[in-house]
Amino acid sequence: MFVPELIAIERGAERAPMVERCRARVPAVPVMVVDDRRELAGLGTDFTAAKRRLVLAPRRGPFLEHCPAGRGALACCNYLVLNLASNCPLDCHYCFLQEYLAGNVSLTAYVNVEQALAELAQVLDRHAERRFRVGTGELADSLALDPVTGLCRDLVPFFAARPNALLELKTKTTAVDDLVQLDPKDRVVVSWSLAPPAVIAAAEEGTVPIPARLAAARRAVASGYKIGVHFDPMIEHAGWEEGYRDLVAAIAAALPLERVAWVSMGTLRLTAGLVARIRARFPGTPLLGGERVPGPDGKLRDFQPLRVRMYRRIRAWLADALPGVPLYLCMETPEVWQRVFGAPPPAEQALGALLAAR
Amino acid sequence: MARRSRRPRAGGGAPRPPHRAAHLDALVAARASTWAAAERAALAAVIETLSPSPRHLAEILDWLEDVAARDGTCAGAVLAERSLAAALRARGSAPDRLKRWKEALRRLRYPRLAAREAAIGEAIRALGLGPAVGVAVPPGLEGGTLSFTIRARTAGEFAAVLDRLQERLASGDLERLFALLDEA
Repeated sequence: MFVPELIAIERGAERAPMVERCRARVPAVPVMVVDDRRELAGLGTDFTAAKRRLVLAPRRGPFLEHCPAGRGALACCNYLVLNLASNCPLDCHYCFLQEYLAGNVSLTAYVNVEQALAELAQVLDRHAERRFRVGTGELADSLALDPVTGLCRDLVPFFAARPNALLELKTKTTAVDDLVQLDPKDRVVVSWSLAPPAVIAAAEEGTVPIPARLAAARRAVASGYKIGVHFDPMIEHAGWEEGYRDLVAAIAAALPLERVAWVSMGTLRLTAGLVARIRARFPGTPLLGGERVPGPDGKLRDFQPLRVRMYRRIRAWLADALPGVPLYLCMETPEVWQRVFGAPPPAEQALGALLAAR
Repeated sequence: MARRSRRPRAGGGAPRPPHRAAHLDALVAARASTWAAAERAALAAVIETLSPSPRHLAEILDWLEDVAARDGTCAGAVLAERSLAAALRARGSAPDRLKRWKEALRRLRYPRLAAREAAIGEAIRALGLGPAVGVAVPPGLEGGTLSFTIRARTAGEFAAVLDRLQERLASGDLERLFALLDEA
């Protein structure tokens, strides 16, 4: 469980319900109040150190945005992102936040949750005929901070009462203690990003092993949650075929087929800036040794014939182990969809609706 | 490490302007300071002989690090690879030698991609379509689409090209070429 070394509260937010919850949950953690979160820059801009200090402050901009994955020439699944935190206590070596948040490294949980939910409610009410998928795992692991913030106690009841929205909580943790006390009424999918043990050992610092993730998923299933599985990023490495094949088998053995909402696949994507950050933070990492070339969005990916091979292999294992579970590719080109599935990707709205209906 | 003199060097490359030399020195200092002395000497020999631009050198350093990390070795061992040593000794102008040396390093950095590109090039040559047909391969094989360009001055020339293409289609040669773009 994540316990910060320090909690910094922006003045004015001291009495926010989430702040009081955090203080009650980790009473031994030192607390400081700052007039403005920008003062925290004085604590340094070290990305690793920032992950150990939790800042509690209101978000000033909008909370809701469209998932950036569908930009440019890539297929899109029509996904909304609700940003309730920024940065993450986990430290996956490939994480895009290393570059994306380089100028604003503070691990921040936004305390004005009621404002976020009001903003979301407006959208959901305005388009009552549409089905939305909303995720909180874009700028942070959805559950890593939950033992401290208890955020899911606000989120799950909100979505449980919304017939046209599905919440996806994406995680690599086992932090489901709060979740399992709530009734999601089939409106919440808890998704685990999964990778073979070799990848976890080499690149997913602070995460838990696969058996523990799957045990947490079983607890979530027992409490009425559906489960999503993300093979993302898929990382080609020596023994990747056995690694992913065994992983698919472990998932099928652990989870009831009818509770698996969807599976996604996406090979590792790296911008040039992220490569530079990884090189600086993790010298000698084998992560950068892959044979990756620029794609249509400029990001480096395994060269296409290799990606196609990986997707086809895993798709075949999934078809055997989890028949009928929707499978989609994340941040891939229509060309690759065609080669993997023998058909172009469904239109954005259709794919989004298919997944939201799970 | 890099020389700042404007005298022509034994390596045959043009002398580097001082600001460029400083840029190269800074790159080497930033990226190779933890290397063993012998490794730095090997890198210095490459810089001296091939006169890479700072952009090329940065890429070379990236690739050396990536190969070393992937293969569990050190940059010096990569620099000592036979193919690189041979490319370094080759004759020709500095830009030509730099190009060939980097191609050799790229084959180490991207062995399967380079092998697949070579196989595709060989398959295109084996089609024997002649100079009237150009076949362009997408960079990095991304997109998986080959572009065919036909040059013809008359309908007869055009028809002859189409006949050749039809023959290669019927023989399965084109099918085999496209299969190389599909899965590795």
